[in-house]
Amino acid sequence: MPDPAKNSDKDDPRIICFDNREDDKIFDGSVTRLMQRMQERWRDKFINEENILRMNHGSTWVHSARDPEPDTSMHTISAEWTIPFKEIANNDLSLISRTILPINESMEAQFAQNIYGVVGAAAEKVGNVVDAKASGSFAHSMLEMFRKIEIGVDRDGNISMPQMHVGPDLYKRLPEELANVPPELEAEIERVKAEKIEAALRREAERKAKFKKPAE
Amino acid sequence: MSGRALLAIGCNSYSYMTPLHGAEADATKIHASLMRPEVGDYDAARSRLLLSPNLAQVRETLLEVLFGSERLDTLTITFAGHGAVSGGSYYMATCDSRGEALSATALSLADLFRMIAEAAPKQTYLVIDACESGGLISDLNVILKSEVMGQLGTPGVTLLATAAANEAALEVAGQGIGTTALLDCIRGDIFLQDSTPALDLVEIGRAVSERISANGGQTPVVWGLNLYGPSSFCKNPHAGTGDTPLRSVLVGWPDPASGAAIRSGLPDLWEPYVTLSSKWSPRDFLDRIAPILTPLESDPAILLNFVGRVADTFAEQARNSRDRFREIEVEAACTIALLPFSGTHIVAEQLTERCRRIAELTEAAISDVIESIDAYEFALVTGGLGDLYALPIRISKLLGWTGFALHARARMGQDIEPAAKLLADLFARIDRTYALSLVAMSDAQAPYLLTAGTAAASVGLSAEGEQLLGHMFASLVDCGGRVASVALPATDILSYLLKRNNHDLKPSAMVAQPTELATVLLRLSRLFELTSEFDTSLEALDHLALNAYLPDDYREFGAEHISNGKNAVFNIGHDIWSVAELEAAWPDFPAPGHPGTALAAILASLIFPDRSPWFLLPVPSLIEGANQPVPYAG
Repeated sequence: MPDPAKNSDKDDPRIICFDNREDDKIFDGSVTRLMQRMQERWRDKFINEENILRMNHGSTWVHSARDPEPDTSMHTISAEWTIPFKEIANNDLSLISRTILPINESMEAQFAQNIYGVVGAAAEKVGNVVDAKASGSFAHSMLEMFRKIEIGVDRDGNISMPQMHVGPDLYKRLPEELANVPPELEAEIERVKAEKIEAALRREAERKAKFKKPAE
Repeated sequence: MSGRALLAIGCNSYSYMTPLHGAEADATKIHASLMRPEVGDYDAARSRLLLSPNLAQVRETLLEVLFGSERLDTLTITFAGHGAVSGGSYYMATCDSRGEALSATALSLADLFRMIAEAAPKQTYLVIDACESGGLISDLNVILKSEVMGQLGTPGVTLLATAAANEAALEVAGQGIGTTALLDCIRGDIFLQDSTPALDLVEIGRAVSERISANGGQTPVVWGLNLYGPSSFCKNPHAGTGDTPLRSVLVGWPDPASGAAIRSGLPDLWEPYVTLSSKWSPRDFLDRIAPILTPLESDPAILLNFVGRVADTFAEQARNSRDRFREIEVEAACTIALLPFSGTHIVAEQLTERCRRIAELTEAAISDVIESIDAYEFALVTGGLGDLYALPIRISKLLGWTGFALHARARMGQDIEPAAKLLADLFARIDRTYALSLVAMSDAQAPYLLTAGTAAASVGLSAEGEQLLGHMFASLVDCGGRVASVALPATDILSYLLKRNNHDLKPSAMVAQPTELATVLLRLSRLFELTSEFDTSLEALDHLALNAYLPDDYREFGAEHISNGKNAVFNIGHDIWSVAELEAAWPDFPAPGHPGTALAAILASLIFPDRSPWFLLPVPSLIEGANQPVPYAG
């Protein structure tokens, strides 16, 4: 936001009348909080709140008890906007939404780009990449995908099925593709899924078993 | 600090002389004050307070303090009691001293000097609040010897005697006036300077001398010789505070009671004074100054003098602000502070004079605004998105203040042409660039529009007034009359704007209900022949509650909550269906009796916009009807 106080008199041709910088700051804070809430809603589409960590210092995470992770450094998301004085002088209240929404969309896009980049890099690293063309069909790709992934278990012990994020083209085709999966492949997918669920539950039991138990 | 010793002696009781009443208290106060680490920082282990001691006790204490351990850096000796010159020497009387045998029974200053010369503290301060204490000069030859002074590292000596060699030392209210002045300097109530971290007794002595001499009866004497090194009698309470001008307000009050009231209240003004260029709350300022003014009410001359000095001081500080109107608002707040006392003629007259000055300042500021807009058309856009809310209010304020300048000239019988031209020029700039910011945004715009509208009508700016009202009323209808509350917190402004843009405003704490702004627009419509247009739009404001606060007594018009008066409420579609019905139902209420009171009341509404100067818009005779220029009430 512009701050005439930061400019010298020579630089700034504006004249300050009835200055109320406290209210200006508070208003700017309201705008920031609004954009923050919009960003949080967008982020929640990708990441469960329970998996969000907030850092107070530094700019990178290290899970030193795990295998090295590909990229845990801070990524800056930024957007620049211009507020035309003329539109303020014209008291065009739609300026608020016309300003904030594009900023939010720009930041959402950058966030999505980042998160797909991180997930993609992690998948590449462990070989969890499925080549749709090489697989031959959507059904085969699905089967291969299920064979490669590990299913998780949530904090209540329930199976957490994987989310599918698809591009606009596939999103349109998806109902048809799902309807056209051959029965034998569908059965195989279900079998692999059941196997993966069983494996997930077993891993979860093993994980839990690592905790020390009180002596009986 | 280390090696700093204080010996404070006060002698009330005398076996062979008349007793005194305040000497012990003086010594006790000086001791208590200088022993505080943030004031004098004297070493408690090496300092003493002696109350009515005999000569032997004084000598014993001097031996202890001067020669008890390592060499002192600083020695301060204060004496309050009887003193006299005898045989060319000065003597300080202890409780067992005899007037006819001072050389044998009193503490000889010459002896004291010899002890000091022998102990050789780096700095010695001697303060004597006693009769004929100026006679100490005659003993200076004891230390002004080449073997004592003049070599590298030889002592510095400063002496303060509160009465000349042939004068008595006076007490007021059980306290020596010399000691009182000294303590005022130590505490900082008398401002000396704010450039050095410590004060020297010489500069304190000068201030004490000026203050006491001005009152007559006593002529303090100060003498100092400091060949080497910095001198530090006590810490400087104003070092680095930058409150020099405000301190000057404390000086020169002839009446001790008024001086005491001002001295005790003035510290409350320091915070708003120091932060004035960046932070300004007129309500906070008035809350702080009001308790100082109340005790001064009985003497209007002092009351006005004090407010004038505070106003000058704050105005000077306000000129450092980036806000072009900060000085004007400060002057206005000082004027409003006098409103409660405007029943006194001299105060009301002073209000007129102050308003004349404020009107001049306002005209200069508005000229600058016009010049700035001419140089850069968006000169008034000084915020970000927040200006969608603030700019319409800012523009209303500019119009309102210009209106005030015009009303001030008119009520004082001056030529109104310059202010009328300014108002017309400002309207022209607003029309060119900011016409769409003539928006009914907040109820806080009510007093500004009332002041500007009545001013415009009084000088025949009909087209301008019509345009102003037309834009405002259209936006009022567009938002269903739901303008923001005067007290809308800044945290809710964005929410209000978003709801207003979405036509989603519901009755809530955000919205003014009832609204005084709508009342102002409807009442002003008569002046610009807009009543029929407004009447035909009133259905769009069906159920809207209108309000007008009408005071009984304008002396309270600057208060945060005004206890007198009435709130006239009218519901559109229930009580009134036209502007004429609103006018017909308008209650009687008094107008201010004196032009000064009226102008100060307008200022109160411009500074605190939750009240409007309705006396500017008396109900016209519906028989005469029409849009005549507004008569000046009161």
